[in-house]
Amino acid sequence: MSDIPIFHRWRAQIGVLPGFGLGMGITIAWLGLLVLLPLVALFIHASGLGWEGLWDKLSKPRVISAFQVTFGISLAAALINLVMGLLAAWVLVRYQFPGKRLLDALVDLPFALPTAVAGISLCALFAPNGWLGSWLIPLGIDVNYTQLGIGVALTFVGLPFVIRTVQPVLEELGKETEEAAACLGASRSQIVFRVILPELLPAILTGFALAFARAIGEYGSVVFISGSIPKKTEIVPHLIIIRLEEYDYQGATALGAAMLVASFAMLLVVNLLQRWAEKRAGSAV
Amino acid sequence: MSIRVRSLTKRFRRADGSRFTALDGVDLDIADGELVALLGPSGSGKTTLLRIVAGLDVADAGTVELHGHDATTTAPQQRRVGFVFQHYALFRHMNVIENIRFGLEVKPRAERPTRAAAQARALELLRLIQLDGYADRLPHQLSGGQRQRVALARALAVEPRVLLLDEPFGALDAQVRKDLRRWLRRLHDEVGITSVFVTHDQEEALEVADRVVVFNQGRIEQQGTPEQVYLHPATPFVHSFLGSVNVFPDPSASAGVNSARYVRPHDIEISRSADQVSTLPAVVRLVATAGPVVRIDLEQTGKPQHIDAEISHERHGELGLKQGDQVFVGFRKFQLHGG
Repeated sequence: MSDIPIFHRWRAQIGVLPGFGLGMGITIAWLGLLVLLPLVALFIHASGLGWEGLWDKLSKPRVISAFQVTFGISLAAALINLVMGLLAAWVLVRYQFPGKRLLDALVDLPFALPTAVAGISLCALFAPNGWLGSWLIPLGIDVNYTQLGIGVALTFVGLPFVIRTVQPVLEELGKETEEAAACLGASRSQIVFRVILPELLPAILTGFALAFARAIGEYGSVVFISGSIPKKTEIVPHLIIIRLEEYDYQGATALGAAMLVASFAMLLVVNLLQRWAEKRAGSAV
Repeated sequence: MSIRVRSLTKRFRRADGSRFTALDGVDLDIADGELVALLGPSGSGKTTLLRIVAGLDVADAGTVELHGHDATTTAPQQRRVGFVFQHYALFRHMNVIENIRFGLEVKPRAERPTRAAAQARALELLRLIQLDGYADRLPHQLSGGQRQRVALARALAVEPRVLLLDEPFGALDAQVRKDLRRWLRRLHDEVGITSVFVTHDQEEALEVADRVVVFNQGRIEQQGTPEQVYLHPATPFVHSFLGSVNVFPDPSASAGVNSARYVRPHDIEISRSADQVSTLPAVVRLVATAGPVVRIDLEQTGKPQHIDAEISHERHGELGLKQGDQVFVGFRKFQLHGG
């Protein structure tokens, strides 16, 4: 077998790092078992409907609205997280202030908190007698049971991603690059827009993609605050639960499969963008 | 006068809260067109001085004048000072030519050259740094020496009146360092820009600079031409920092005065028998013949005095020294420093 030239080349590429066969085997088996297998099962189940049946399940106005709400608001929340996360990462890296470590630890809280707890807390905050609701409702701003509420919940759960991806890159970028630009005569805004942001772009895109993906799949924190009003504040994950409660398993799998395809396509686009930006910056992020 | 620094003082707070004096009332003048080396061990204040001159750090006290104008509080953008960093600090997302053009493109609209003029200037600099044909490369595709040359071209593009280089060759291999520092000297002679570079490598400072300023603990120990500081070191610190040195107690010193004789290894004379010069009995501990000179480690008989000597290969051939041999050493030349 080792006479086959391709095999020779393959071996040469592996080089001196030991355990390639074992490591690769376990990784593929693990990913296959945990990710691929359930997904394949999902698609097989959904394919039982046939193209027409699938189209029938997905073309209902209630379903289309749920998709619009889920993807639209997830995108908005991810964009808000992009801007605010960038600012937060900047503050956490560049400035020294008392309580910095505490604030830094706080960032990870949305990772750890059960999302239902987050949803209920937010709901209580924006209730008519809640801390924020008692101020906002007289101003005509209703958060609970509106799309705005979904946006607030999705922004909350996506908060850590941009911060945590941008932080290490910003730290590594160091002050010198900015100082070099300043000595060359660049103003503050020129330094930000022509030097820092382009350097951070790959990390920003990664964080954005993660926040976006997280928001699309989010369920727990949203159901409490959205009220799940069909065609208004109903998100796809909740619609799937409803279908299951109606014993419409094929309908649920159809929704699941469609969501998977849509998410995959979007993440692929973001990933390609990120790959391009990374190549440009010449650094692995 | 290009740069005029008066009683500059800067203190930093260390991580443990203690204060550390980086600069302690430093005065320094640098004339137009000079190439000056700031030489000293790490923490001696040389980099801090350079950063304050560039406006990247602010002094606690003292003044900085650039070309006769007080620049103590001027922003770095307005100083017209080129700065080259040890780790290049190139813009990673821009290719070589974009890096060089950057300073021209960020100029205010009224001063900004046309696109074509900026490109022409950048290409001219690319030739100057001998990297024609590398315009489209990204920084990570270049070697360390090439990156530093790009950083230099980027700094020169905006025609600064002063060029400041902070350990410019510190991150490079020994051979590249050597090539690049000679190249810097030629470039300086060609462009004629007032340049100040920081280094902790005495060989680099002595070889390249018109004038060497030796720093120690936030103060200037001595300044002068390379010959002056090497041949006539003013203090024990300068003597031992610029090359290795043997320190012997001075036999002619009167009681209470703690002076010592400083002798360079190549000023040590070794002979088989005692004569007028070689009077101190010593034992050969080690002979290293690889290199341009033969290095010999000796120990003075009966004293814990270690002696480093360097002799020519010819002299070594005459003496035929081996480990354990009894010899006599003396000094061809020495310098007295009070204790």
